[in-house]
Amino acid sequence: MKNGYWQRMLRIDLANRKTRVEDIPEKDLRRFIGGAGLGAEILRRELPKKIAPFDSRNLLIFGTGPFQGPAVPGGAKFSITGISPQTHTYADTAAGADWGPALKDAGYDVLVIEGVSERPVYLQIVDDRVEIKDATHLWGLDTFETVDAIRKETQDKKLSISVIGPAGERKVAIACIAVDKHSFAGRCGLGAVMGAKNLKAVAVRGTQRVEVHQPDSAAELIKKYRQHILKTVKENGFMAHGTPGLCVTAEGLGDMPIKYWEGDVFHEGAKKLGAPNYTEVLMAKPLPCKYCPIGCHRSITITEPQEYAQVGIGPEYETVGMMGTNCLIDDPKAVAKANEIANKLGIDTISAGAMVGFVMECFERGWITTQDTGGVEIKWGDPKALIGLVEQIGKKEGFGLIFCDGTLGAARKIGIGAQEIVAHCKGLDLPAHDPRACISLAPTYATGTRGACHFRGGCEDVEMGGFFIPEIGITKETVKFFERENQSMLAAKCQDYFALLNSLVLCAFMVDGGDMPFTGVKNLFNAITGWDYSIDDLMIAGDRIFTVQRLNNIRDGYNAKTDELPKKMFKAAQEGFRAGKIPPFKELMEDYYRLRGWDEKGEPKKETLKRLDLAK
Amino acid sequence: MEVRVKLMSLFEEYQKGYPDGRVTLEEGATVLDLVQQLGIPEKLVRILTVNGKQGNLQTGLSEGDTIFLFPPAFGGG
Repeated sequence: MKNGYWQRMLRIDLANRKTRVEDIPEKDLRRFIGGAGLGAEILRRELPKKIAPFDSRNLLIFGTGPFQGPAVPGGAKFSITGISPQTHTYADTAAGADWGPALKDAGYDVLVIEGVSERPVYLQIVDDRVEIKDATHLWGLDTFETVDAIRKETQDKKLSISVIGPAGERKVAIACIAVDKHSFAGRCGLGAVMGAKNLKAVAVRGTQRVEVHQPDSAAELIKKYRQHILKTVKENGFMAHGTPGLCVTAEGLGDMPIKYWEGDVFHEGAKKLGAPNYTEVLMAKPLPCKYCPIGCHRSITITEPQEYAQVGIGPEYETVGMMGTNCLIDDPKAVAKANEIANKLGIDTISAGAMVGFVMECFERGWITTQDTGGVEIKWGDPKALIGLVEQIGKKEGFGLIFCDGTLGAARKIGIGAQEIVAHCKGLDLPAHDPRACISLAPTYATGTRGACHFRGGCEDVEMGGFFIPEIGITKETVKFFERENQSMLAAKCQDYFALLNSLVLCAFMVDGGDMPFTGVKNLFNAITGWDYSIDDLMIAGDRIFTVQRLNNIRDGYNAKTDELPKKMFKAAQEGFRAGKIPPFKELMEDYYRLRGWDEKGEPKKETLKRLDLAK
Repeated sequence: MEVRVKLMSLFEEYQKGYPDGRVTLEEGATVLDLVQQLGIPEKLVRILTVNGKQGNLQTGLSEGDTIFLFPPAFGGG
């Protein structure tokens, strides 16, 4: 074949403890590329409508693409898809470290987990040897302890290991999947699905190398773009400061969440939390995934105060935004502590931060009192409240219990007007970017196939001047702040491009921040697969993948009526860069539906499906 | 003429020579002239505001203007 794929899918039925290998037709790979694309298509073909996330029929699909074979910068990545306990529909989430290439080297493109195991188990996959092992003794360990324990008992230090923590075991809706104590598939709660299947971990190692079409050409392109990315990130500060380098700019442009989306400015807070202060105070250094020239993850060291001391992984921009400015907390060490707790218990730091901000607002409104919280006051800016709540949410204990079904679930339990203030789309909490500042985020969030997500698009970075895709007409001239023109086009094209990236699977920071051009992605794809795709071909594949994800959403009950933004997004700021501005949502959605070729119900029209080779 | 400049985030290091943010420019100067005087690489200046409104490198400046210069934003992951 020599096209970067094995064309092999490993399927493991946990209920019957059976494994089998299926062929993946080349036609499917050409249409859905891999990763999130193949995952979406498998879920569309195999799942009945409105399946519950913890139903034994739900699937957990670990997917790679053509970029996990050779040592592609940003290629140490993989995708996980399934029905989310937060959105109750299609979701994909991705992580780095070494797991994606490890699955590929074991001789598989995709791993599908079916059914529910009777008792806790973990998987050990080394090439053709697939073992379902008892994990009763691992149940209860945190995400870091689990990796250490499996490495120790298998005596195999080269295993790459995806695990859940106590939150996943207890089916907390925001549970994440953690990889090698390094990277986290954070969003959408697929860790809880893993927990519901009684699956504690998937440990993989391989000894094979998939063949590519033009190895010399691929190697040359890899070398060229590695050097280009390296030069770029040394110059623009991405390597030195990681994602926290964004804080001050984002806050200055009104993009950062402040006081659970009720605040307008928090200049000093953002300055304390963001780089360069972050880098200095936390003694932060780059922590790269395999093959990565950027190292956006942060390795940090905190020696004092004792209560925050750690040598570990630092919070990303998103975490700093959601646990920091969103809660009016300005101490990076406190946020780092909360981040560490969330990582070890295994919960998404974005949704966890959203939950804490939500509680702080409810407390201020008097909807929650100390009687509910066990005597603890939950006030804005209080690091103790943040840290305590994150721990309770992750452990599903005390007041944290009400969050086991997500923020929306908690709001329903609280009652009064609490549901009205939840900032979410499809049940997924907004990440740390504000559609009132970057209005292309309005259609991006409203139609996001996994709910509100900036990173299934990246359009806000175009608006803020950090990311362009000239090959598809996205340049610094494309949009202007607060002006409707081209914003929905930007949103749709970025969604399609990112759907493609999540299927290749390529870390989006190679292109957004690392400045790897789309042409480079295309050339590398062709050198690996030998398929001679044009930029247009790849964009159609991205559109097709996004549309299949949308078809999953529609099957599960989503439609034009649910393509909405939270109420808070229609309240203008009093001061700051976005003072007086709200997104022209209705107009943006009209533009968006027209560009997508969707009808008034929000469904792709027949001709749209035909154009994308998705007609029945 | 004199303008006031605020250098955000990773641009802070360029403000060292101008601790109070006051920069003197020739009459008719543009943002580009300001950026060059401060020694910031032009290609890193992507987003800027002049008196709170979005501008660009060609925007003309007047006495008393307040200019915010932001480094490129990326990596919101």
